[in-house]
Amino acid sequence: MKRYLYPLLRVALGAIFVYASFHKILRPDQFADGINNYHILPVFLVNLVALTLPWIELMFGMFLIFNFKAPAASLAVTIMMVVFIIAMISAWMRGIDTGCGCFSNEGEAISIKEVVRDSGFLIMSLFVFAGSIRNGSKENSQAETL
Amino acid sequence: MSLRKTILSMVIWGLLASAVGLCVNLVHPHKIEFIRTPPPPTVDDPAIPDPIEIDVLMANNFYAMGEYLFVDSRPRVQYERGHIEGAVNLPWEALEKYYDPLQPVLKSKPALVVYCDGAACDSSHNLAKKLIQKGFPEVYVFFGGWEEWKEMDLPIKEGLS
Repeated sequence: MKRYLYPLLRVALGAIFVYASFHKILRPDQFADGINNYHILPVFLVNLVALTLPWIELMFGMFLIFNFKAPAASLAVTIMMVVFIIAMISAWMRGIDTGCGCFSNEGEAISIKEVVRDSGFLIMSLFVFAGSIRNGSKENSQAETL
Repeated sequence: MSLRKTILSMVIWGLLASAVGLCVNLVHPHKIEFIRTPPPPTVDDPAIPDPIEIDVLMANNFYAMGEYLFVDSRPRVQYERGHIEGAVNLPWEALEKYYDPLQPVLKSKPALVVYCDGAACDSSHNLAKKLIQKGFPEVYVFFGGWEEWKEMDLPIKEGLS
């Protein structure tokens, strides 16, 4: 059972990131407005982030699904989760009425529900990162033995 | 793989994905400017009078009369999530983009009622002042805005009007 947990979580996390990237890639204009509503980034950076972040999510999500560069992908995903959670808490505490923008460009305003959900994803990504590092070490030691 | 190599790999692949995203934007049907235009400067001219502020009861009276056009000054995403029924969206932060196509609608009513989220936001006040500067004779600011309108269970709509 434990053997299957790492690949299962890796693929699930990858699928979440691939899915989350779709609406942002399809509607960069709406995603940019969503980022702007957080009032965290300087205005000149908003569109650049809106254009690049979804593709980073998509690519590292695919990497996790296909177990390619898994340590780098899980590290990137972990960093993104930390940033998303900080951004959400910051917007929530400042009382900014904005949607999360996580899985759609509309939806309910940020609440504790989204923060808890993303914290769950963060725990998943930390587990996958640790697993990918461990797997990488095993592969290296096997290669050395051979 | 060492942590250093992992970080390097992440950065290189991340830059590659970013480059793809920037290139795709060139041919995207919903393409955006690479650098976002900052919001217009606020009107500081003392010759331009301040807009009259109204509360939710007055706003509801104006709404019921039907002769006032409600103008939502929040960004398009927030407007799509919900707005006062019948209100048009003129986002303060993208005024230049939305003003021209909306001008005939704005001029079709004798008076405008501008609102944003609530008392804490200032985009309704900024927009109202700009509209007065542009020559609109009667512009009000509903300072309770979207939050107060929702609390009072008054007519709202989701999506684009």
